[in-house]
Amino acid sequence: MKLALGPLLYHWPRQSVLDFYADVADAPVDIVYLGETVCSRRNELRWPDWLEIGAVLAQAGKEVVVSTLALIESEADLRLLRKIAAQERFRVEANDMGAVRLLARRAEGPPFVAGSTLNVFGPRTLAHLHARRAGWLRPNCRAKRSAR
Amino acid sequence: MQASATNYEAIEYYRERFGIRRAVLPRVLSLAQVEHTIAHTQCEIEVFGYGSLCVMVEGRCALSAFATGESPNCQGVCSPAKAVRWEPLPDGMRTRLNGFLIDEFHGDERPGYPTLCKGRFAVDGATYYALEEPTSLNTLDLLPDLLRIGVAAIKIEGRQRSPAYVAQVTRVWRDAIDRCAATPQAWRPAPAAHAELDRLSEGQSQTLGAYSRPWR
Repeated sequence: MKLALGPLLYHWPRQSVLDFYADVADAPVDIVYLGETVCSRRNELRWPDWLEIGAVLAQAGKEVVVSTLALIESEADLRLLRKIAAQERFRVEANDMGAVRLLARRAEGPPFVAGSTLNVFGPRTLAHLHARRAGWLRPNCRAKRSAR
Repeated sequence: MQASATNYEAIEYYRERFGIRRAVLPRVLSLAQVEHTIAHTQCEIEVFGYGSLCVMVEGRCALSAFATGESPNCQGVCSPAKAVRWEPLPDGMRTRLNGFLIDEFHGDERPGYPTLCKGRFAVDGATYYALEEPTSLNTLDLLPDLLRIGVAAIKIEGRQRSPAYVAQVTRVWRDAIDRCAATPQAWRPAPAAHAELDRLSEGQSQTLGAYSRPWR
C-alpha cells in the first residue's frame, strides 16, 4: 500500500512552504498532493511555483498530483483551473464539479483523482466519476462523533 | 442529497450530464459573481434571499456530519431535530447537538436552534461566536439588482419554521417582487415590508451577506 501526503491546508509564509516541500522530497511518501485548495486570495505561492515544487518532487521519485480549489467563485479562479486542467505533466485532483467537467473532457493524459470535497457518498456517484476517467478517489472521512 | 456548484463550469456539467434546469447558488458569492455566473450558463439560477445566513458553502459543510453523522450533503438534514436537546436552566437554556454543548442562554437572551456554526465556543480564553454571528440574510434592498441580472427565483429559507412564518415572509416578498418587476426604476422597499421582515428575522441584526462585499 502506498503512502500519500494531502495538500497543505495552512496559510504559511512562502519560505516555510518551500522548506516544507524540500523536506517532503526526502520523506518516505509515495504520492504528494500539491497546490492551494482552501482560498484563492492566498498568494504566497503562484501556479509556476507549484509547478516548480512538483518538478523537484517528481525528480525525487514522488508521484505528484495537483489539487484544485474547493471553492471556485470568480473568473480568475476558473482561469487557473483551466490552466491546471490543460497541463498533462501531473495528475490532477478535482475538488469541485467544474474541475470534473474540464478533466472529463480530456481524452488523453493521466486519469484524474476525485477529490475529498466532491460529494461522493455512494457507489453510483463513484461509478459516474469512474466512467469519466476518475482514476481514484480521495474520500472525505466524516466519522460520526459523540460528546457522550 | 445536496450537490454543490459554485461556478458555471460546475453548473454546466450537471446540466449536460443530468439535464438539470435550475441551480441554487450557495450564499457565498458576491452579486457580481452571481451576475457573471448567470451570464455564462443556460441553467436557471435561484439565490437565497431571506432567512438564516449559512456562511458555509452549501453541500460542502462538514460540521453537521461531524457532530451527528447526518447532513444535507450525505444524508438527512443539517443538525437534525432528533439530535437536538434543550436543557432548561434556572434562568435560561442550554442547547446541545448530539451531546455537544452548542450554546447557553441566560435572562432575556432568545435561545437559537443549535447548529455547530452558530454556537459560542471558548477560544483562547474568550467565549464567543467563533465561527459566525447569528445574523439573518435579508436581500430586499437588492431586489432590483436580482431582477436585472436575471435571477429566476428567490429562495426563502423556511426549514424548521412554522407555517405562519412562511406565510408572512412569502407574502411580503411576493408583493415586493411584483411591485419591483412592474416599475424597477422607481421601486424602493416599503418601510412596512422592512418592518415586518425585521420582526420575523431571528431577532438579531440583518445583513446582505456575501452579495455585498464593500471591503473587497
